[in-house]
Amino acid sequence: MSSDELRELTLLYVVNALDEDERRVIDQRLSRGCPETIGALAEARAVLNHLPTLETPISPSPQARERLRSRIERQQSTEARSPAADSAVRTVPEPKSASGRPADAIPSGRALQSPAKRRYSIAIAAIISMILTGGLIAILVVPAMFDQRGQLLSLQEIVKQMKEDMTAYVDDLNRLQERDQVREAMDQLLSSPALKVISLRALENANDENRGWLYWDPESNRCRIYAEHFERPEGGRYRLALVTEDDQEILGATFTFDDSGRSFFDITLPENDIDSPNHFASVRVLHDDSEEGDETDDVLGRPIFGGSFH
Amino acid sequence: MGQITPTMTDDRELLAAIQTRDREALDALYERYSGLVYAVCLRVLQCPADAEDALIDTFWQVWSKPEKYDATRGTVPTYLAMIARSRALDMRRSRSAESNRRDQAKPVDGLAPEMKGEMTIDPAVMQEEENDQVHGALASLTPEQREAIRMSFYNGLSHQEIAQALRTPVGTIKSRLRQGLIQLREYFRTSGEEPLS
Repeated sequence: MSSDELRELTLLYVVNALDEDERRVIDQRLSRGCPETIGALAEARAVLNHLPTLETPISPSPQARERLRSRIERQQSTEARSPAADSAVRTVPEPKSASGRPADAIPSGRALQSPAKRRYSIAIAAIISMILTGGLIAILVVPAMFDQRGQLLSLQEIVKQMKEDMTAYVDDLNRLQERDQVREAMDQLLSSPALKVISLRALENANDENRGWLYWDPESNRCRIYAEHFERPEGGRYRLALVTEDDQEILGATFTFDDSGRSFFDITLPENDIDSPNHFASVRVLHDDSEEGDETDDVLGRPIFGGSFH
Repeated sequence: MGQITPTMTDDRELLAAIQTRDREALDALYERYSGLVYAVCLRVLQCPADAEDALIDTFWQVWSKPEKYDATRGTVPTYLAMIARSRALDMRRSRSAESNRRDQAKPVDGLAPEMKGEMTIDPAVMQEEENDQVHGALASLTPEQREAIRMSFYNGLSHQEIAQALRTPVGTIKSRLRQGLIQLREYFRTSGEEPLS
């Protein structure tokens, strides 16, 4: 492309008058940082920027100058009252009159309201509040006053019903909150570049349904175990252990199955002195038969499930 | 408050004085350029009342943020005209959106609803256009070239939209824009009216 062609194209570029192909050519040259194109574009913009100065001046009405002065005076008087709020005051938009035009000649804001007008506004606000409160009561309380057959309940039953509804509502909220936390924890795990995923199988009485996965982030030592169809008696204590080639458990943490019906558990392992997760050969989950205060791992019971790192 | 001294005639000195909250400097700048700013606003908005609002907004912006002016990027009138155009375009977009919400009008003659307002030109302004004393660089353009460039620059329309509005082939509009802009560039280059960056 010749220099003249480039200068022509950049003129059309700044007024959005290029076809898609031509525009792409200019964009590519600009993205490469082509100095000739950048220079031509600056020249084209200068031509366009200068265009308005060619307009024949037209005098505005004298009121326009007065409105500008009035606006500046208002700003300066506000600044004088509140010097600290200088920057904020400058961004306050010009008050508008009912016609939509700035109302320069009149003071702004609450100063405009007479005491009678203010009382009237307060009364209107109070009435609206009462209507909204009444509506809220009607929505929340009235349905609780009738049973499923539409018969009016006693006050005691109404209170009981409302308590149950409230409890169910709180339970729902807790479930939602828990679900968000679970999702967030998993997202964090999955985003770890060092994430290890190990398949788990039952170690005794295995069948095809016994399966699971361990997600382990060696950097934070956070783990999540998914365990499907494994024996997990409620209230039983278990121990997740990371084991080396010579069958030494280096990292471990105890957890308890609860009655939530969840098939996964989030566990945080203790501080890890091992500099590489490759030192571990396998993972296993065992019954933990230790009592409160036991200081030895000798009481660990039979392994339930486990998996190999390799 | 400082006074406009006989030596404070330079536009840049006025801007510097405005930075010190000198209202007389703003008055002087207004006296000098309100006609130009108003003309630009009127060109975009096509409505005297709206154009005055945009004029006030323009000088208000200069008063509020005089430090924004960068002398290396152009002269003061160019700077004022750029602010004026920008403020007027913003105002027209917001008023056009309001108008569309109210009217919910269907497109006419293939024009998008948001363009309808832009194409409605006040008869008084049309008359003024007829009487317009075109001078300098603009006088070197044909009326068709001027029209295409103004529609592009002041209305922010693409060449296809201009072609649609004027019922003229796209290629013709593109040619008018190209020839007109080249002539303007050559005029500025040879006349030295404004140093090109």
